[in-house]
Amino acid sequence: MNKATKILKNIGMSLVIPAVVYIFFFVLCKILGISGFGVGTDFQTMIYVSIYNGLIAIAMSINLTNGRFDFAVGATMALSMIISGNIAKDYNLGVVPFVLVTVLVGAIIGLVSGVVYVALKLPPMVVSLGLAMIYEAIGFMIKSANGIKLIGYNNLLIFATPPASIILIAVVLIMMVIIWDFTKFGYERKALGTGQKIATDVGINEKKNAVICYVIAGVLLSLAILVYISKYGAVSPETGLSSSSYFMTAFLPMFIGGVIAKYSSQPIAIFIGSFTQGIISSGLVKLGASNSTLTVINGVIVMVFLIYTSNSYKLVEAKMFKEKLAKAKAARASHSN
Amino acid sequence: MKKKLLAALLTSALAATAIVGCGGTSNQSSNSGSTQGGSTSTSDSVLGNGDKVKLGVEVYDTTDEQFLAMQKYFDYLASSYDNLEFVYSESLADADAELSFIDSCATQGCNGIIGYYNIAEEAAIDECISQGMYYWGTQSLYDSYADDEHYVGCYNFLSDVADANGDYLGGYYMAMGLGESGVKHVFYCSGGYGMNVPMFVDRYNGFVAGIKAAQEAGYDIQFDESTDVVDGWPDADGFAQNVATMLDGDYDGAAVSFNAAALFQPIETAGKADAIKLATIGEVSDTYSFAIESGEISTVVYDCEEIVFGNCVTLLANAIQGTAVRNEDGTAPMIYTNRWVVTDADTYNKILEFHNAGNYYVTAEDVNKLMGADYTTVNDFYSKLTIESIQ
Repeated sequence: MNKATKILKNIGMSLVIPAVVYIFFFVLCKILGISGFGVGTDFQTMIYVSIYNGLIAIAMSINLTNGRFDFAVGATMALSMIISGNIAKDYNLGVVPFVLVTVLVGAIIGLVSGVVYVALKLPPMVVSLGLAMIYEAIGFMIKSANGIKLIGYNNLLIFATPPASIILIAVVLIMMVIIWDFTKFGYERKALGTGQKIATDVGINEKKNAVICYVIAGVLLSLAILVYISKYGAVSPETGLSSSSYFMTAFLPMFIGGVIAKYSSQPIAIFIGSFTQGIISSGLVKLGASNSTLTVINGVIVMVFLIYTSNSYKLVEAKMFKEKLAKAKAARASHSN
Repeated sequence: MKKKLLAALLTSALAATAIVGCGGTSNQSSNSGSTQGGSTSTSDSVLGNGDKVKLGVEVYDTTDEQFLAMQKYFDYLASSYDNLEFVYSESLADADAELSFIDSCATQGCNGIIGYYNIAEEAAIDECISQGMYYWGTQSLYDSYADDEHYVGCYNFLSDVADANGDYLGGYYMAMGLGESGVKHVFYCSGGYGMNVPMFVDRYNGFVAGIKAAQEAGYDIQFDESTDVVDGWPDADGFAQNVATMLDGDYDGAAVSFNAAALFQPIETAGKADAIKLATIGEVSDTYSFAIESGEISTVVYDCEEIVFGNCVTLLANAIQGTAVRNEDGTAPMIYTNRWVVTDADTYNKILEFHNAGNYYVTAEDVNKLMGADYTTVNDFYSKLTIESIQ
């Protein structure tokens, strides 16, 4: 197989899941006489959902694939926007300074998370639970628990719709692919993810790598909440770990992305997974599914993908066994001849 | 050593945030002499000189605007009287958390509980009574506890709609408000209705009844239960898609059973700010100020915090200080209040400016005057505070 064919095959395999899901719902809606699926405003909403959930899922996967579950994802998002949004409002910032401040605040929060994790050497779940409570409480204290309301600041809230949303995700994906697949940091991260002991034995600085991962995740989460506030205009503080609701919808893209990642760079695979989720949500909404039904169906799909990813090696084993058996039979046949 | 120091710092931060998250104990004794609400007198008041009144407040969401407004009012009362103090729960996620908060209040020396939120139902009131504390609230259980001396009563709404509770009326008034605003086709954001959350179910049923009543009153307003409902909240699956579908339709009105601010930006982005009128159950606060000015919001069903919820302080303080307000037959009273339906910017801004200036329609002095008063006096006082009376 030459390189061009391989690239084409990978592109095809990466897009097969969203394409099949899209066609399934498109045909179903046509049969049932439901109009508007996957076109116009519905398509724009799909894009919004994909970008929003995709950014969170990519951010979560950075740490999760290296064994660090970050429970402070939602709290990081809320706090970064409460701080940066209020700065933008108080100082009448334009859109570019607003984005820069948001990214900077996200990076600082990520840096704090990373440094605390590395310094304490406690299980990441424990550290992130504590940090989530701290971030939630800080967000609660700022501006007397009023959060941030940017409703009507249309010059700032441009990232929920094209072209700004498309430019944002394109820049993020390009940057992430470069960082993941073409930098020393990316290779070291992969090495740590697949074999931590060997990686550290050969001289990879695990702590430095972990801190950088948290910083990148912080930046991506701040961009995710930027997309969210562009859609809804306001972010409220959360308490009692309720900020966890922010990342509950990000699991499905991660697991779909895990399957697609065999044929594509991981960030792109996760984004495709997120787009697939957007198609599923839109399709089910068009078919009249309630919010609770959607949650149940999403849960079932996550389960299916988990079962598949956990057992996919068995399919490979079975295939290898079959090939081996065929070879043995062929060898025996030729031997007996 | 550094590690230990950092661990100690993190632990301290966790402890500090836990206190902040709980809303802390609002001991306002150092804030006496407030000029808010025109009341500065504390020395010769019955409330100021009597037994300590320490009240636990059960809260569903400590970031909710209505709660924050109510908390501000309670803090104002506490700053006026040295012997009045409030203890706030954190956001109560389940019945266990609620019962645990009630126990914690008893340990802290509270003598009353404000049932602003009650998920444990009878168990919460029973726990409160068994700990020797007085209880206010939970209108749905009024009949079961009216005879108990530790149950001091609750609020109710004055209404010409039979057998309607507050949430039902909220939905009803939203529908009527939209009808009166000339809306022809409305969609309804139902919040937790799809998950059978009682509050949202009542609001939904009230809204459906309100649409029917509006149609009977001659308003040409249409609502189809099978196609015109958006389930859930902004961060829930499918909410964005559902709202987008609605905004693509021919709707000229929307009723929102939770904070309507969640719809402002989507409507603005869809370019329909001038085409869709909103109705909501919410606060008179800065959040809706610009929207009611521009006409985007046509109806705000508002529970004025010092009237609808503030009467709890009057009832609890009286009971604690031995002058319990009871009905003639000895049962606990219901205080009948008015749900304010704000439909114009002038009224909205008048209430907003009044509150923003630190004033209240029920001042600390008013509460003090109601100490030792009988049911008729207390009920008349709160019942007469209508939206017309403040004009």
